[in-house]
Amino acid sequence: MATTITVSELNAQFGDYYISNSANMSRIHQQIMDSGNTEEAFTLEPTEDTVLRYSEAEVGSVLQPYQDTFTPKGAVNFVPAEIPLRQIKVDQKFNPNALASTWVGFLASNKLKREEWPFVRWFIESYLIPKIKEERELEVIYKGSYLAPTAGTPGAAKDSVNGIRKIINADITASNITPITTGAMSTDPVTFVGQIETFIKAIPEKYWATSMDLNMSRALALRFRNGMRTKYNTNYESTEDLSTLLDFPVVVKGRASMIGSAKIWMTPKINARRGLKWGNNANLFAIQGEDRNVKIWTDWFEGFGYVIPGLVFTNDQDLV
Amino acid sequence: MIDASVGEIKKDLDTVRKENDLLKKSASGLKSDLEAIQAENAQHKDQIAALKQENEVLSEMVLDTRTSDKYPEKLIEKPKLPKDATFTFDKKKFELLVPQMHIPDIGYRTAEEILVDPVAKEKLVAINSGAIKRLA
Repeated sequence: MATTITVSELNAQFGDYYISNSANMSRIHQQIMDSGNTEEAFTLEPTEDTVLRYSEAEVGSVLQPYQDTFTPKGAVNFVPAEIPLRQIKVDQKFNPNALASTWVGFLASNKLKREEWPFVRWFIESYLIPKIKEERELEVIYKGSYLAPTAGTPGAAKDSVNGIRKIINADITASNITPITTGAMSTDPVTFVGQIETFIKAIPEKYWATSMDLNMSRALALRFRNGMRTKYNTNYESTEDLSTLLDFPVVVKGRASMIGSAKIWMTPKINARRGLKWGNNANLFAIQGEDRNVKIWTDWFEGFGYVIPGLVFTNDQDLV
Repeated sequence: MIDASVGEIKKDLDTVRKENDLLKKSASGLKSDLEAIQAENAQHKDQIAALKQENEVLSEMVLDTRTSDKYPEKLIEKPKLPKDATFTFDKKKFELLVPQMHIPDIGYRTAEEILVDPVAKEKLVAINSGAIKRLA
């Protein structure tokens, strides 16, 4: 199915002709695209493989009281862990001819090769690149759930690759992650701060000194800051300080990817991995003319996951 | 002259008697100390014997690990959701959705433990936990 270019509303208002005037690309506006920041929670791992493989070495105790007899003690158990990468693509095909007799006619050209028209550059820079970033954030990185495509039919963005929610929930079901029951998140900011503090105190004490980002939706992160202002009377603290748990090196981070979710999760950044193969392709495109049509495409591999799922701390929400 | 000498000898004798008394007292104290030390020593001997036995058992365990064909599996088997993970609380039926969880103020619980723990069930219902689903 070809990419649709609809100019009927524009023509109805401005006429189906182009007059060389003040109209230019700066007069074309779009809604703000949200590229988010969830990627920063992961350690980027460029690779040529389509699966990242690790091993968690579970080790036993080694210390013992002295005696002259040699009494060896210790055990190492290598547990496999892998993060599969999925191939993601962008395919576009359109005939930009309809633009020539419109108010945005400056995007057309007298060049016979349609792929050389200014519209193609605008299409890639103003539409494809920001949209890829937005969909990766809003549809894939947290909410994604891989679904093999139906032959000949473009699949949904969220079907491209498994996102964090799917991965965490699968590990909870497999008893690789132990969720901490926060219950439903309170709408009262002060109570909510208490819930988060209880959550942090419930993680094993040996990790209390480990720096981690506590990821949650932007709405919950805002509620946390509001709660901190009220609970600790810190109206004049910076946003960063308001986002930091008292007595713990944990910073609350609002993620666009988690809009609408009550799940919270955290892990040391080194444990969260984002595998990327042909990663530059997300900003590079093949452009090809086909008769009067223009074809644009790109593809790359991407995958998210955790090396040691047991080091992921999360709550009991958004489990389905 | 002789009287003076006798007087000095008497004094010396008194002194010797006093010293003797002191030594006797000290000897009896030492005797009780010695008995206490001997008793403590016997206790230590018992402890050493027990520790030696324990150590031998542990050494055998380590040896088993080293000579085993494969490294030991995790000591604790991962918990699984029971086939029937439902429970009734306050005349309402709920289903447990996860095989294990940490409930603040209560602690770590497997699904099987929760199904027989009224306090844990009450807490999960009270906080509207996402780990349970209301069925009816």
